[in-house]
Amino acid sequence: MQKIIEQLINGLTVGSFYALIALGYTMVYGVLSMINFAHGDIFMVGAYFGCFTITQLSKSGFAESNPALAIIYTFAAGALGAALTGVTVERLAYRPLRKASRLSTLISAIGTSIFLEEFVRLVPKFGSMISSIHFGEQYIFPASWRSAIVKVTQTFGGAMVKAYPGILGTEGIKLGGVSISYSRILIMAVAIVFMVLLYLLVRFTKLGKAMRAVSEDKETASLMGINVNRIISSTFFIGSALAGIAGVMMGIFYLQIRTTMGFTPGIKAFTAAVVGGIGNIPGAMLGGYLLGLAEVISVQFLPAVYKDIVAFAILIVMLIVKPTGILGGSGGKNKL
Amino acid sequence: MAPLLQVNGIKTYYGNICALKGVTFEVNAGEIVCLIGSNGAGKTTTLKSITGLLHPQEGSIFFNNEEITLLDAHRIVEKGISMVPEGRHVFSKLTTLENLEMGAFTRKDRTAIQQDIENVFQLFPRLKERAKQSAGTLSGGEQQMLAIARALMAKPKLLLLDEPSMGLAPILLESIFDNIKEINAQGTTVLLVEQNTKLALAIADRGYVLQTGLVSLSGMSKELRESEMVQKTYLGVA
Ligand SMILES: Nc1ncnc2c1ncn2[C@@H]1O[C@H](COP(=O)(O)OP(=O)(O)O)[C@@H](O)[C@H]1O
Ligand SMILES: [Mg+2]
Repeated sequence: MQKIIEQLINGLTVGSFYALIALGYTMVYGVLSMINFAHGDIFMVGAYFGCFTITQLSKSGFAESNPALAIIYTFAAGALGAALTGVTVERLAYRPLRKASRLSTLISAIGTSIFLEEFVRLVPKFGSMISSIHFGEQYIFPASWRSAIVKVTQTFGGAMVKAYPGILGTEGIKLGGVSISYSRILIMAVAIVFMVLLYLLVRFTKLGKAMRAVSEDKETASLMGINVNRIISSTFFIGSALAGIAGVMMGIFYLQIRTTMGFTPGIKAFTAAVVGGIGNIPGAMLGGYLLGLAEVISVQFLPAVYKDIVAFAILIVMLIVKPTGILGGSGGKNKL
Repeated sequence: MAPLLQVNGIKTYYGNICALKGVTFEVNAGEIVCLIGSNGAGKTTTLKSITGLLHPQEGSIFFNNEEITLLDAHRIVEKGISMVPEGRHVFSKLTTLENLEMGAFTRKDRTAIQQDIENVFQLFPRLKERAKQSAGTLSGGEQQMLAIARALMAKPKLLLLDEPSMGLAPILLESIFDNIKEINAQGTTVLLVEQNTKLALAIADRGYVLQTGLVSLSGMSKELRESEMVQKTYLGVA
């Protein structure tokens, strides 16, 4: 029994990652009817922004004296970094192709995905290149700047696996024999809080209603005076911020990040979005948790290496049996 | 006084297809003007060109003495033009009330918006009963009322209506056209596009006849009703 509950909590933790990432897929699909295949990499960028922040805060001793604030700053940096990346990607890689074929947009998304991974990997190289720009004997940046640029870019990115400073350690609480680590509690709590906030935003605010209007009919939305491009940017901002939060969680949980970390969670979250009904916000949340639970259950019966296969088997079965997803409604038209 | 809306020789294309070949007309403040013509004449294209959903390649459009030819649709709403699109296009997943709120998207005056929601409910009492229902569950007639009410929520100076009679039961027709007259009487200028020529000419002050992308005839409603061409082609008088 104890073991089952622990596995359940494990599933909910992993499900929290999937659900948060899946929301970005589903929101973007809602307003643009496209799959943002660079979304997993936006998640990765968020993890790197968070990692940079918590590393700096740990070095300066701030994290030790103000752990709660340090965690908040780390999440904020991950969310904001990912959000700005997402908005930029939409502006530069997707918007110019809005009227082009789906294939063009898909290829652009795949290109963006590779670009982001390589960019983060090469950031230290860019840093040393920028810091060594010189005319003759004269560097254009003073020595102190040059070392700062090199240091910052090396802390931020690079080819190596980056260690996430452990903020919460491995401690936790014990509830009737079941031990739950603080990091799991934090992850589940943060995920729930942001999902509730998102739900309230989409349901009740002017922005949320405009997002739903745009998702249903862009032309008519613009006849209401809604600036459709601005709403699409906001959608990318919010969806990417949620992915950034998930990226920070992943760092806190697994204590290491790498530039390719977006791939598997990205595809699994996509699966979660499809399972719940792509375009449907509660569906993405449900799909994320279902997938997390399915994975831990599968580990009980199959060798752990089959875990990833389970997720994709679910995707295939879902696409065959009910392509509109559990909450998708008819014809996949149920958006946001 | 300059007309409220002035459309000067606009040519609008869909790719290579020339849908408007130089359309010119005007609407004065306070009027109901109708644009009649058969299917494919270019009526919807004309309205979309005015609202900024399409941009003419030649010609110009002035509203309130200001050129709006190339403005984006959401900017033109702010200038005071609202459209009830052909086929209603209510947001079916939003509630009636949310649809009305979207109509008021450009406005910030919350208490006045509340007041205007009450006002449109007075104009269309059926909508009040359906306030919390999603718009997709409304009947065709109710959706048309909602589309008109939603457009009014922006407090437009000029209301464009694209075939409000389409698909409505005959008993509803008259009441919708009475509503349009009432809206006009309360101070909103109306440009009405219709295939139901008889009804349109009954409430309009003036009218223009559009044929394959060109204005072929214009005049006061009475003159148009008496015109042999209109009688033959659009009123079915042998
Ligand atoms: N999206 C479109 N693409 C290509 N041609 C179009 C499109 N919409 C309308 N047209 C053409 O433009 C002409 C005018 O259409 P429209 O303005 O819709 O006519 P009306 O509203 O008077 O029935 C028609 O010949 C129609 O076939
Ligand atoms: Mg039409």
